[in-house]
Amino acid sequence: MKPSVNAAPLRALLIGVNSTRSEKLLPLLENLGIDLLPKEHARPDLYQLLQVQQPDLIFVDVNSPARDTLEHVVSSDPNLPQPVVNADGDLRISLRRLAGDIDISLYVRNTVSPALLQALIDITISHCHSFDVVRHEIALLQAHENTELIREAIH
Amino acid sequence: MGRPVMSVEKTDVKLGHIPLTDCAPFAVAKEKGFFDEQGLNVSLSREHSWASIRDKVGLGVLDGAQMLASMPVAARLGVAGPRLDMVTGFVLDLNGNAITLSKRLYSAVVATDPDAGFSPLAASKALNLVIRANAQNKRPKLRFGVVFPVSTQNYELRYWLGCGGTNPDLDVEIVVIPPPDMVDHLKSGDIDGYCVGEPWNTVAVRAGLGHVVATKYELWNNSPEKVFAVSRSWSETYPGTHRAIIRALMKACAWLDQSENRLVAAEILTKCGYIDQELETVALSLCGIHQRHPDRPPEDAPDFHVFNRYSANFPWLNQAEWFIAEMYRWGQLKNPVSISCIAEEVYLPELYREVAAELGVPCPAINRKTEGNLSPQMLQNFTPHLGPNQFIDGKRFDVGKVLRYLEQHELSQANISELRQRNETVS
Repeated sequence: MKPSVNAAPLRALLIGVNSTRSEKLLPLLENLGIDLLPKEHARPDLYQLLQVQQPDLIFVDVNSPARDTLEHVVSSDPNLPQPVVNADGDLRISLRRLAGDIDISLYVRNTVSPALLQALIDITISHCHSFDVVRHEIALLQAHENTELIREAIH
Repeated sequence: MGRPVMSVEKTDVKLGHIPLTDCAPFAVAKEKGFFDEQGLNVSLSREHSWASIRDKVGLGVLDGAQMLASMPVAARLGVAGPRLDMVTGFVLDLNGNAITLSKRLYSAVVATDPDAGFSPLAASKALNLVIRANAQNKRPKLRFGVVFPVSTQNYELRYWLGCGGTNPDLDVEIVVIPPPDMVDHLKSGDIDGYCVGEPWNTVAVRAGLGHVVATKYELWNNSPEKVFAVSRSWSETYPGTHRAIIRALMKACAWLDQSENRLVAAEILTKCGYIDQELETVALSLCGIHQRHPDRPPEDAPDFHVFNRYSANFPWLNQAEWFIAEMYRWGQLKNPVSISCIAEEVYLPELYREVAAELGVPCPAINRKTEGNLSPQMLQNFTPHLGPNQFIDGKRFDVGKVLRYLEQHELSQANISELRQRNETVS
């Protein structure tokens, strides 16, 4: 999945992604060799920001109020990443999980191949899902330990 | 007594809406039990952007949603976004938007022509003079907010600017801002005006930050604002559920158009968490009272929101064609398509007719009507099945004459000769 040594790394921008989810995404992107562009910014600056940063990928919170502004910016420049919604088969299922379960919508520049796109989405879902499972298990473990401690304290 | 209904294939349904006054049909159908009555267990999902609504309906995360009337048409054409097959058999409401100018810009416009405070057309022409003076003095372009690239608000703002001779693509800057953020952007001076749905015009006026210079009603009487849309594949998979939702919405819209229910509707919207605004702010426009200026008393505007009368819920094909015409006019759509065929693929009058028959509700027998030919005076003594339909500039949009309509506009990027090849029979 890591790009070849000679290829310029893909550059990703996160918009409206909260810290819980960016905690999950950052190590993933790093492992994939994707550069993360400076993270937060005021919404009105999106018009300038995208022209300056020229990202290859945009991860945006499905519920971000900046979505419609982002839509306007990318619709006026086909060289910017475009929303990925229209898909069939596996990619459609993956996109549905990405939006419905992970709350992320993806914008991708047309230079990113469909195979890479599918892999990127699947790895993101799998990684975020694994992260949640581990976190859930730790929480259960902590709750169990706390219960044991309370029991010990009582008896 | 209506015709027998299809059985519902899916009872648990998730529908999306945006927190605007005209999400009322969804709120009322839910809170007054119209969805339950149809055997539907509907959960309403408050969404934060139109793009999110489009994506979630497109991907099947939502079963259906409130959409801007232009959105399913734009999605079908892939205009300013991905190409998605959306359909609508139900218009949720007419009118409901307005154009607000900042206090400072309004003062400049009225100083140019005092009639601008009373006439939307005069205001548009006066604004054009202000814009020309600004350009001569090397001042930055004025900035206006709309809610989505393919929004009704974008086309309305552009139409109004165009009436006064302002080229929206060259003379001003148009940016997209979420409706709840419009007032803050106006206050900070980031934008000089906007076109948005309620309650965000009333909020700015009541805060003393802006003046309404034109309403959607004044730009084009009783034009469609929001629709209930689903993906074509969902509609084909769940035809019975689709009809059941439309039946519930049809009943909700009829309930909403009884004037005695409007205040109750405002209470539902504000107290059940659909809109985070005060009851009075939402109730004003909903009850047909429009506050255009901070320093003048509110005006009667009985048709500011129309939910059912004037055959409001019927998906007129010519109205979908008008949106396509605007997409060509403003250069959003360039490749020539058969305008009538696209309209017929997206707006489904026959579906509406079938559902209306199930409820025994009368509905139009034709699929298209001329726009711009009926004034309020002409309709005074008639039944409320048709409403006024005039445009601010007095133009007519005749059935089958889309290209002739486009040709009437001086400001237009449409390539008429190219379009004529694909639309010979309708123009």
